Amino acid sequence: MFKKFIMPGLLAAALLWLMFGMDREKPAQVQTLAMGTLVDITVLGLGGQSNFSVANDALREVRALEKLWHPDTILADGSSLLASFNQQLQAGTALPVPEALQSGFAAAARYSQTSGGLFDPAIGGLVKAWGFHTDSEFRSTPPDAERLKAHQQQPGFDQIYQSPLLQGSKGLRLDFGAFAKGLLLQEVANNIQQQYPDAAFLLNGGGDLVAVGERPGRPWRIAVRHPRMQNRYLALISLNDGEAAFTSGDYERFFDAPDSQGQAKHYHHILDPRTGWPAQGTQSLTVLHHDAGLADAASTALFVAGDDWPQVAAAMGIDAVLRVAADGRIEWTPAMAERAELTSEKDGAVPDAILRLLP
Amino acid sequence: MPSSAYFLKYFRVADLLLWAAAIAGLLLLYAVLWKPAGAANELQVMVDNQLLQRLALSENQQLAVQGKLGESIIEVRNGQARFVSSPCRNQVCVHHGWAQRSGELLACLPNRIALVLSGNAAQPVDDIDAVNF
Repeated sequence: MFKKFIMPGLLAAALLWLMFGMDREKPAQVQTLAMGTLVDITVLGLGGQSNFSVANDALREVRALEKLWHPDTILADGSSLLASFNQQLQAGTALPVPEALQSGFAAAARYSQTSGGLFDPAIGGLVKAWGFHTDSEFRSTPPDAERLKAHQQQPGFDQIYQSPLLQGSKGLRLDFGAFAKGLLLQEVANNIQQQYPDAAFLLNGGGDLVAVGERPGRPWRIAVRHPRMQNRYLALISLNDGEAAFTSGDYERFFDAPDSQGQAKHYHHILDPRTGWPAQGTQSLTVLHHDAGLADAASTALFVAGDDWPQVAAAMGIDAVLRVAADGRIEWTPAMAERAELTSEKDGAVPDAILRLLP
Repeated sequence: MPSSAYFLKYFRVADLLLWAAAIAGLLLLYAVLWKPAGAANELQVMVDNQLLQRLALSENQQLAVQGKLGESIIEVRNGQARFVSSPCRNQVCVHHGWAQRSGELLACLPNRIALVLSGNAAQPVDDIDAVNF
């Protein structure tokens, strides 16, 4: 008599299996304003409700981590750990780095050293002088050149940090704006991966991305924005499992103003620690790497390096780079050329890219 | 060994109807649940992380949204959305320009306003999950 349940039973099992399969693939997408940008998290592979709760937990973690790394005390719900450390450093003595910040400081010191100081968290005072740190102090003209010169003579991060101590001084302001986003996203990604090995997810921190797992049947696919043509893509890239894509560009945070000769000038937020002025020579620079913290720091350092970026890429251990130089020419490394597909111009022609080998 | 007689005995017309209904249901679920990334058709306006309203991207309009600093003007035109103006000093939101893809995001941080494009039109425009910038 059980035989008459065989067919309906099989049918029900097949249906459940298919429905569950589809439910697992239904992505949850949530977002929050944090880390000075809009953070957007997409999770799939766990089932509709679980996708959502994992995504929301990740958002909470972003907000908690943000509190550690904000350089100033302007967060809505109180001070940040780095902000209070910055205040203590004003006394001018060497202080032990708070434990929750130590591994981040150690990585930052490494990148500061390998980049030859082009990535430098000690230039927070310079960032502040330019007013790029907060909207209420955003400027419409460059700051006084003498003031910039004073900041430029400050020692770099790898000179004042001797683990676990950091040498304070009056006016020193540590700002991990070129690194914290990558560090945080990597930590959030690691935690999700550890707890939910079956989850596939994409973390998007204001256009900087970390991808884990795949969409059903295909990898996460991203477009790199063109630095000069709004709504045109420079290239398409399929991200590997666990890979981050970080871009530094001069087209988002900037002001235009006449210089001392009355020439119109574009002043953007990526500052060159060597000169104290916005870095010259690059419109945008994209880096792929499996460590988002390194990808973040390297995209800044290579942007600042200008035409010499291949040396810095090699020194920092980066092999996939895509750059648009100030004159609009496109350069990439062999590793990037294998991965990225340049998008065609309006007339259908694919733009030329210059292959730059790493030393 | 099950024979065709076995199937005839336990598998009747009603079963066939059930199968048909089940497959139709599956297809319906698939259509409802599975949304490939494509052109967006809906705009969610968020203020201070709270959903303020949903707009159809098919309706061209300009909209004033009150944020923390003041009023941001948002424009919807031809399935795209952008910040026309915002009371922030850095104007990052205005510099961003138009957004049109499902999953694309625009934000004015100082004014605490975020725009999220979602939904999908009948024909996906591309296969892209996010824009890197």
